[in-house]
Amino acid sequence: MTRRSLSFLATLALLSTLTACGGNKIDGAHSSTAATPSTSVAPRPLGSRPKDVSLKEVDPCQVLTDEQLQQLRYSKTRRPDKGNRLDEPQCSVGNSFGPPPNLSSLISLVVNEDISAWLTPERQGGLASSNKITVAGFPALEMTGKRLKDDCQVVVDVADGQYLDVFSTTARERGTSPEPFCVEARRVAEMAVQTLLARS
Amino acid sequence: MVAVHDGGGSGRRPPAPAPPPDGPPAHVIDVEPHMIPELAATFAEQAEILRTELEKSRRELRIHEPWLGDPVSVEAARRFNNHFSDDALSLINVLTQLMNEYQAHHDALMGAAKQYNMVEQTNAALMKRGLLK
Repeated sequence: MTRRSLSFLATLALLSTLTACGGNKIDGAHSSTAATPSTSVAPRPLGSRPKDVSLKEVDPCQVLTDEQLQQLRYSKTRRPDKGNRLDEPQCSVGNSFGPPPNLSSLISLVVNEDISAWLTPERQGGLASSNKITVAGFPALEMTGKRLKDDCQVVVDVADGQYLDVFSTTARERGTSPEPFCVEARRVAEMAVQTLLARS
Repeated sequence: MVAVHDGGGSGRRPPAPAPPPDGPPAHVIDVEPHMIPELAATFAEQAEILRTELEKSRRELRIHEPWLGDPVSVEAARRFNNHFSDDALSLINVLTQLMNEYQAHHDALMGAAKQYNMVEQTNAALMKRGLLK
């Protein structure tokens, strides 16, 4: 009997400790959620934006006007698509059949990843270069890959957790240097931001 | 370059004519004039599909999620990358070559369309597939 009552007491003690732990955990969770707003006020990794431009519900095939496509010497063919990783809406535009230079750009509007994802060691490890630039006043990154030399990517920080992604490459023969593609990606990104600003 | 083989061994077929001294043409397709607009549009459309797929593949290739890091994974990653982008017969190289062939066919057919005064019909066929100038 004494053993039983002892074990009963022990179980009771254990249970009360567990409940206390659970209570503490909930308290901890509460305090961490309370701390979240202060992190969003922290300075942006690439510098501040002139304003926030939301990409939600924006059609990537409409961020370049017909006039802008003409300036780029792209055809008016817009090919909509979707990204495999984040399911982001995309649009491919370019010059496959006109006189050279034959370039093309894939425009992606990412609304479920912050641009800071590109600053992690894992992402940076796959890049040959990553330069901080500004695109129409917005902080941006210009990135070239380690393996393929004939493409270049510009990502523009337009809102928290959202970025504009312009990936420029060849629409014909393989190239040897990323430079012309970086010039193109910057140019396309600049035009896209102008269109987005004009619409917002 | 396209090489045509007769299956070999029969000995009945005459030998293939010697290529002209400046090298054989890369591709020869017999096309009836009325087929020009649709064929040009088909090759253009296929080239554009490949172009988009190439852009997407190149962009996805940027993201190197960390492999397990053990020797087997490192070797697997190396082989994967070689097949994808580095080798002469890598996915990127082969798809680019195929896209270039489709583009060359489109260009040749557009040249033929000019000769046959069929540029208008060919442009209409391109437009019908959403390929706008």
